[in-house]
Amino acid sequence: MNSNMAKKKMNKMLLLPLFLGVVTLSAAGILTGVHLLTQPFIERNELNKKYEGYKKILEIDSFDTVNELTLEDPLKQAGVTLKQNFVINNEVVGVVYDANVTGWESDLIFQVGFKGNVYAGFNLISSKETPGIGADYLKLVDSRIKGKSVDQPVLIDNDGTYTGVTAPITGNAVKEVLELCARDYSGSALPEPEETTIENLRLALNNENADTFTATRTSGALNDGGVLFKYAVKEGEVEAGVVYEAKLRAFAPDLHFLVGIKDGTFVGFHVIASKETPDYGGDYLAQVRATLVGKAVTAEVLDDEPVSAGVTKTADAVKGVISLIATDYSNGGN
Amino acid sequence: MKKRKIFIDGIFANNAAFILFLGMCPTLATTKSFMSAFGMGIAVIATIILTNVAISAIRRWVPNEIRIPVLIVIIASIVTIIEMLMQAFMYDLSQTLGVYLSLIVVNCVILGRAEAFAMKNNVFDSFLDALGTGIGFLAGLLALALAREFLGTGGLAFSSLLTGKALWSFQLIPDNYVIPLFVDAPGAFIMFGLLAALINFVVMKVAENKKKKALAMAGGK
Repeated sequence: MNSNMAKKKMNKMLLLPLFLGVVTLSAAGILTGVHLLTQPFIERNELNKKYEGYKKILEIDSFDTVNELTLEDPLKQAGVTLKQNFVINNEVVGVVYDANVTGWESDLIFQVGFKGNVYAGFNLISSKETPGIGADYLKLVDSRIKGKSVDQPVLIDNDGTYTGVTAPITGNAVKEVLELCARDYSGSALPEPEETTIENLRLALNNENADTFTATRTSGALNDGGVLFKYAVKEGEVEAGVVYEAKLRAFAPDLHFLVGIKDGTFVGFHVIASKETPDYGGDYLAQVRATLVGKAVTAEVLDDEPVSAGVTKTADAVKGVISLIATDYSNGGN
Repeated sequence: MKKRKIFIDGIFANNAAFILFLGMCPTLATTKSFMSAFGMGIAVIATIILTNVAISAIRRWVPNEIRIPVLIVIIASIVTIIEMLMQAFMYDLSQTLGVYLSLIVVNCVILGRAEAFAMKNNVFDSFLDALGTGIGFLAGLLALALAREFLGTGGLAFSSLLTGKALWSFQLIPDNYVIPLFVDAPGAFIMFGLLAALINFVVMKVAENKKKKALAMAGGK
C-alpha cells in the first residue's frame, strides 16, 4: 500500500513537469514556425512604413537617391539609428533621422525630418506606449513641430498653447532626440561629455589618496551602451585602479555613475546624478553598490540580485552597463 | 445542453462585457473608435475559438493539478501567434491596438471559458460556446464604441482592417455640439455604466416576462 502511494507520488512528481515541458516545447515549436513565416512580412511592413514616412515628412512623391550620412556618437547614444539625405534632380530636399528610443516602453521607433532651416515633420513607425496616454501624445508631435525653426525648443507642454494629453516620460524621450537631431542638422556642435573630477574618481575607487588620472573616450559597444569614459587612476606612481563612467536612460534620463575596479574586483559604485524614483530605482542603486563592492569582475555579477516590483527598468539598464564594463575589463580593457 | 442554447447564451444571457463584466480593460481602452473595437473583437473571437477548441481537444490528457499553467501556455501561444499574424497582415491595426493585443492573454473571458467550459465539454460544443461568447464580446465592444465615437466626434469613420486606409466616414453632429469627453477615458466609464444599466434592465425585463409566461402557463394547466 505504502509502496503504491510512493510510486504514485513519484509518478506525479515526474509526469506533471514532463507533461508541462512537452506542452511548452510544442508551443515553442509552433511559435518558432509562425515567427519564421511572418518575420519577412513584418520586416517588409516596417520598411514600407519607413519609406512612406520619408516621403510624408519631406512632402515628396519620390526621390532619385538617398545617401546614408555619418552619425556622431552623441546621436548614437541618444538612440538615433540612421541619418539620410534625399536627393531629387541633384538637389538635397531634406534630411531624415531614424531613431529607436525608450519612452515609457522600449522600442519607440520614429523618424524626424528637416528641410531648409525648419523641422519638416515627425513620423511614428511603431511604439508600445500606453494607448490614451503616451500613444495619444505621439499623435500630436508632427503637428506641433512641423515648420518650427531648428534653433527653437520644441514640444513645450506648459506654454499654454498645448491642450493635448501630457506624457512626461514619453515626451521627454522624444523631445531630447528631436532637439539633438536639430542641432546636428543645423551644424551646431553636439554636446560632448566632460571628464569627471578626481574627487569623484576617489569615491569610485574608495581611495582618498588617488591623485592623477588619464581619461580615454570609449568607442564601439561600450560607447553605444552609455559608457562615456574609462579612467586609469594613479596614487603617486602606483596604479590605483580603473574607473568607468556611464550616463544612460534608466527609468528616467541621465542616470550618471562611476564604477571602480582594482585587481579584478569591483571596489566602488558612485552615483553622480540620478532622477530615479527614491523608494524604487533609488533604493536599487544603493543595493547595487552594496552588492558590487568586493565582488570579482564578471558580466553576470548582478544576475542573481533580487529586483523588486517596479524597478525592472532601472535594474535592466544598470545590469546592461555593468555587464558591458565587466566584459571590456575582462577582455584586457584594463 | 442544447447546441443553440450554448451559442445564444454566450451572446446574451452570459454576455462577457455587459453581464459578466469580464475583459473590462480592452472593453474600455479599445472602444475609442469603432474600427479599433472591431479589430479587437475579431482578435478576441479568433483567440477564444482557437483556445477553446485546442483545450477541449486535449482536456482528457491534462492532469488536473497543472491545468491552469497548461491553459495559460496554450492561451499565451495562441495570442502571440495572432499578434504575429496581425503584424504581418494587418500592420496598421496591430499598431492601433498596441499593448492591448498582447493583453488578450490575461483577458478573463478567454481563461474563464477555457476553464469553465472547454475543460468539461466536447470540441464542437466548446467551439459553439467560444463563437457565442466571442460574438457577444464583439457586440459589446461595438455597442460601446459606436456610442462613444458618435457622441465624442459627431460621426463614424470606417477603414480597412487590412490596410488601415480610410473607406468611408460621416458626421451628423456639428463640431460645436459633440461631447469629446466620450472619447476620453472618463467617458468610457460613463458610457459603459449607462449601457450596462440599459442592457441589464432589458435582460431583467425579458427574464421577468418569461417567468410570468411560465407561471401563467402553469396556472392555465
